[in-house]
This record gives sequence, structure tokens and C-alpha cells, in this order.
Amino acid sequence: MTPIIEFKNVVSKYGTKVIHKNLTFKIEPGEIVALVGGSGSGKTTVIKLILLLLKPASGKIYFKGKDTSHLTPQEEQEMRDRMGVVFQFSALFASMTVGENIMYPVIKRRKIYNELIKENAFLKLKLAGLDEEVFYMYPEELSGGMKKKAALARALALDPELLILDEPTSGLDPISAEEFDHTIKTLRDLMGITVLMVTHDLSSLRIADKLLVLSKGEIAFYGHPKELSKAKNEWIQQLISTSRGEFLNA
Amino acid sequence: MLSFLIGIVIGYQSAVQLKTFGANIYIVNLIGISTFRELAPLITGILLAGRVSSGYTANIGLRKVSEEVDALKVLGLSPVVLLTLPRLISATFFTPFLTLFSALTMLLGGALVSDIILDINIRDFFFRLSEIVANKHFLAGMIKTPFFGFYIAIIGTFYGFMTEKRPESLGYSVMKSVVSSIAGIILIDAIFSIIFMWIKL
Repeated sequence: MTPIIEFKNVVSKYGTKVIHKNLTFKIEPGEIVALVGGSGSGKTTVIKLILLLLKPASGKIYFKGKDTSHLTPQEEQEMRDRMGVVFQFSALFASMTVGENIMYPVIKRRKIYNELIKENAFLKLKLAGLDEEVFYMYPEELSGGMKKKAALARALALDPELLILDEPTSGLDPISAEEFDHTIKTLRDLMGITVLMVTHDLSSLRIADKLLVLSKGEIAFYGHPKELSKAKNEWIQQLISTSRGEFLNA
Repeated sequence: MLSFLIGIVIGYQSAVQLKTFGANIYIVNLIGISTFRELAPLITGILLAGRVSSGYTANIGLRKVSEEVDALKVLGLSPVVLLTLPRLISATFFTPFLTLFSALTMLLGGALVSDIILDINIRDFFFRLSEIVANKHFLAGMIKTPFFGFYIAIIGTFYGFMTEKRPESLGYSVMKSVVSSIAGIILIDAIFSIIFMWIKL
């Protein structure tokens, strides 16, 4: 099966500062991959590279087997349209209701009837686990957990093949975080959607099929979370030895 | 309100001096010309620099911190066009109207003081004003105001986009935006003064 995303010897830089030295990995369709790493390890840069908002200094990135290095701006956007992003701070447009937020990407990117756009928004709201009345509410009226779910509904608006979550459970209480993780797993099981989740919340790793650990700009581990304890990397050993990472040792 | 109070201050200071020389009636020239040519545009510019420039920076900066700007980019929309253009147009076109309003309230303050201290009633004040303040003084003041508005919007939005994704960066950006706007407004005013001197406006 063709991987959704494939990195081959990717080197990335901001100016002269090297962020990634040599990244090579694949994300298969329908997988939930958790991307973990210390602060400054380049997790957010991986997202930018996948979204084609940053070009690699060298190496290749493939989306469903297609090389992304020589795309026109329009082709790049078409590729981006096949990805949904939930940002760390939800990034809902404050001047719009939740419903308008969900409809906005469809209005901008697709030419379909308004009624259909509205129906699609209600459906995505339901898939994200929110009630219909949230459609008419403004982001400031929502709790942190509801904001994340609303952002998830917006990310699903264009029926993406790859869902990118940037620290989806940060700032959420344990119950809301658990609920959010459950929603993600259900979405994957129902729709077969591929998920890349950048996280600091180790309990979220329970829903991951694979774990990608970045350390000092390189891949320190890529595999099933249960195999993590075998990794010899210093940062990983520190991570496992913390009380929050204990379950990874089990 | 601020313009009205400045009109009162200028009127009072001028009235005291002019009364000493028995040149009461020249208060209209003094207040009228200084208001239209310099005070109203400059005060409006400085007030807008503080209010509008900081507002633009805070608004766009907050959108940057909360990743709204990134969300727009992912949707293939240009945040610069979407967030800058409407602000640029509104600031450029509305600054002259605000300046005109500021000038009228400033003159009203001056006229009130003239009435109280120099016995020049408000109707006479405005009648004489229409006789002595030539179009060129009015034009000299109004020509520069769209440039003030444009500059304020550019600086305000620029520092908004320069805000980094750290909350403390937002306060720093707002401060830089206000300082740059006020300094820039005074500089643009000075440049216009030199140009007007050359072209005898």
C-alpha cells in the first residue's frame, strides 16, 4: 500500500540553523502516529514540512507516492486541502460562529450549494462529538475541550485523508483529554483516516499505533509504543523513567 | 473631547498674550491657521497612532499567537491580504474625516475661550474664520492626513505580523508599533512642512 506520507533523507533548516539532519520515515494509511520529542526537537517543523509551508533543504517528501518538491502553488494547495489540521490553540476564527468556522474552508475551497455546506458542517460537528447548538455559538463561549472539538470539526470539513493534530490535549483536563483521544480513535476506526499527532501528553500515546521520537534533529525511535523501552537513546530513557512515562515500560 | 480641550488651551494661552498687545481679533488667525495646518492633523495622527496602530498590532498579533494566521495559510488564503488590506483602506480614507472633525471641535474650544476672555462672540469668530483661513491652509492640513492613516495602518499591521508565538511578544510588538507610529507621524509632518515651504503652500 502506498504510504500517505514518506520522508526520504529530509534535511530542514531555518536560515543556517539545521533543524532536522536526516529524517526518513513512512506513515501508512489508517495509522495513528504520535510524534514526540523534547522542546526544540523540530516537531512543529515536521508539520510545516508536511503542509508544504516549509521546503526541505534536501531530501524528498512524498504525499501518497507523489513527490512534493516540484509542485505548482495550486497543486500544493490541492494537496493541503487533503489534510486537516487542529492547531495547538485551536485557531478558531474568533469573529465567526463555530458553524461559520466549519463552513469557511468549504466555502473557500469547494463550489457546492450553501445548504449542502451547512449539512456537512452539522455532520462534522457530530463526528467531533459536539451538539448541534454549538453551531451557533462563538469560540469564546466554549470550554477548552469544546474548542478543540470544534477545531477538529473544522479540520474534518474538507474530508481530509490525513489529520494533523498539534498538541491536541494540551491545556485540557484529564477527562476532556481522554474524551478527545477517544474521538480521534473512533474517527480513525470509522473513516479510516490517517492521524499524525504531535503530543507532550504521554497518556495520548495509548491510542497510537506507532511512535516517532525526535531527538536532536534525528529520529531516535520509530515503532510500536511497546517497543520504546528497548530504545537506547538517552532522552527516551529519561522519558520512560518519569512517572508519567511509566506505562511505556509495561 | 481632546481636540476641544486643546482648542481651549491654545485659545486661552493666545488670548492672554494678544490681549496685552490689544490684538484681540488676531486670535482667529492664530487658532484657525494653526488648527487647520498643523494641530488638527498632528493631534489626530498621534491619537490614531496610539489607538489604531496599537489595536491593529494587538489584533493581528493575537491572531498570530493563537495560530489563526497559520490556519488561513493552510486554507490557501493570504493573511497579509485578508488582514492588511481592509485596515489599510479604512485608515487611509477615514483619517481625513477624523481630522476634519478634530479641527472643528478644536476651533469650537478656541471660539468659546475667545468669547469668554476677549468678547469675540462665537458667530463672529467663525465668520472671520471663513474670511481669513484661505483654502490653501485647509488643503495643507488635509493633504497629509491620508498619508498619516496609511503609515499608521502599515506600521500597525507590520508589527502585528512580526509578533512571535509567545504571549510576551505581543506587548512588545504593541509598544514598538505605537512608538514607531508616533515618531513616523511627526517625521512625515516635518517632511510635508518642508515640501509646502518649497511649493509655497
